[in-house]
Amino acid sequence: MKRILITESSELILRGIKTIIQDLPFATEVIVDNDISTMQDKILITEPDLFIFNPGIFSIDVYDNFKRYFPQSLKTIYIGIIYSHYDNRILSKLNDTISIYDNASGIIDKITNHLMPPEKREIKTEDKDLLSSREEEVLKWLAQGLSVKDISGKLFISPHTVISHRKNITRKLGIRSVPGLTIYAIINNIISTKDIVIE
Amino acid sequence: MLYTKDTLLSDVIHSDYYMLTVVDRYGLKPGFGNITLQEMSALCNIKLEFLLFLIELHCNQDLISIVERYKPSTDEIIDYIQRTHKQLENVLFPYLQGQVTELTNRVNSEKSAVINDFFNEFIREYKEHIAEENTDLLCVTDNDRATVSDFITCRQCKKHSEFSERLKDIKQLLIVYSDADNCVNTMTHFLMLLNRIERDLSEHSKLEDYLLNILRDSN
Repeated sequence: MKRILITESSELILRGIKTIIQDLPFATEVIVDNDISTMQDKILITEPDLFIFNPGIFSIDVYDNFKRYFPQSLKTIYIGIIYSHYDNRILSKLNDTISIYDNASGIIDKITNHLMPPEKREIKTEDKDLLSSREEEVLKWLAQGLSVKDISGKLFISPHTVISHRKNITRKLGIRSVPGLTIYAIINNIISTKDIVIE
Repeated sequence: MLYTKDTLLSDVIHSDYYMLTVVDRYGLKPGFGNITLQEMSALCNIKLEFLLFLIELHCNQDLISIVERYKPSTDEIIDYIQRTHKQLENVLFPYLQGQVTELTNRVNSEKSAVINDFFNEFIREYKEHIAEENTDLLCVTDNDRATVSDFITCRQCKKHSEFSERLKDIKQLLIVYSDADNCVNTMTHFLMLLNRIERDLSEHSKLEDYLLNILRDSN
């Protein structure tokens, strides 16, 4: 479980980031805190793996004494949300930035590479290619364009469980989009081209 | 690399070959001679500042600081996006289609049909998306531009993410699950082409997302 702390006062941007984080290929715990006066303590207490924040909320003095304000021993990754121009003195202290003009998959890749670098990704044999029978069943319907709600009704499971299966499928196959899942399902004989209804 | 009016265009190209695609949008083909950026600016009727903006945009990619430095006008960005749309429709997509045909002629027939369908659908939807943008975003009058709303901005930005996701997925499918025994060279060449297209569409989308946001915010 990776812990992500977010500080962003814009509700729109905050919700956007939280939505994108839901698609990360590993489990996350998201903490939102906008009280900058206690941020240093918050980081020490929560020990987040990733701290995503708007660099504008801290004064330049914080960046000039970055190591004093944010303990480096925790190995927290600092990512700034960029939607205006920032001084290099600020940017040079961050591990990375995400721009509000980045697309969702770019942000997911960036966060994944920090929290789970390729060389540290464990590939369990059972995980590598093999989908469980339930995942295969979910994939069958996803590939045919059914929504999470429809699949949950068809398989008599909760939408939350469908989402969880979908996450596992995405993680195992490395494929996120419905057209991509459809091709995978066809070439692996999970569905046939006849199953696809053209709107 | 620091780019100035006296930098040779060939040096810019050597620093990043992707710039060949960018200068092609202004009608310059390889063999353009030993011209400087200032000479290119005069030759192609493009402001030097905007040309430097484009080079920095594609070579450095930090859109926000580059915009801050060069302050390109909305009209200049719209003109550049229109040129990119024309290049996508008239050059890149037909070329991609040709390469898909070459590849699918070589992989087994069942897989070739789905790969073909994927790209036909991708190109058809992207062309539809360009047509929508030409109406919603790149329209000529200020009054028309005033209609760029939150709804249009969200819809188009979401589309950009979807296209990028789909290209990543097809690359993953080809790299991991395709059967390229009989066509290793064609497959490698095709994957490198997809990588280039992915960059092209991603940088194009980033600029369009920026434009959508400034048009919406100015309303």
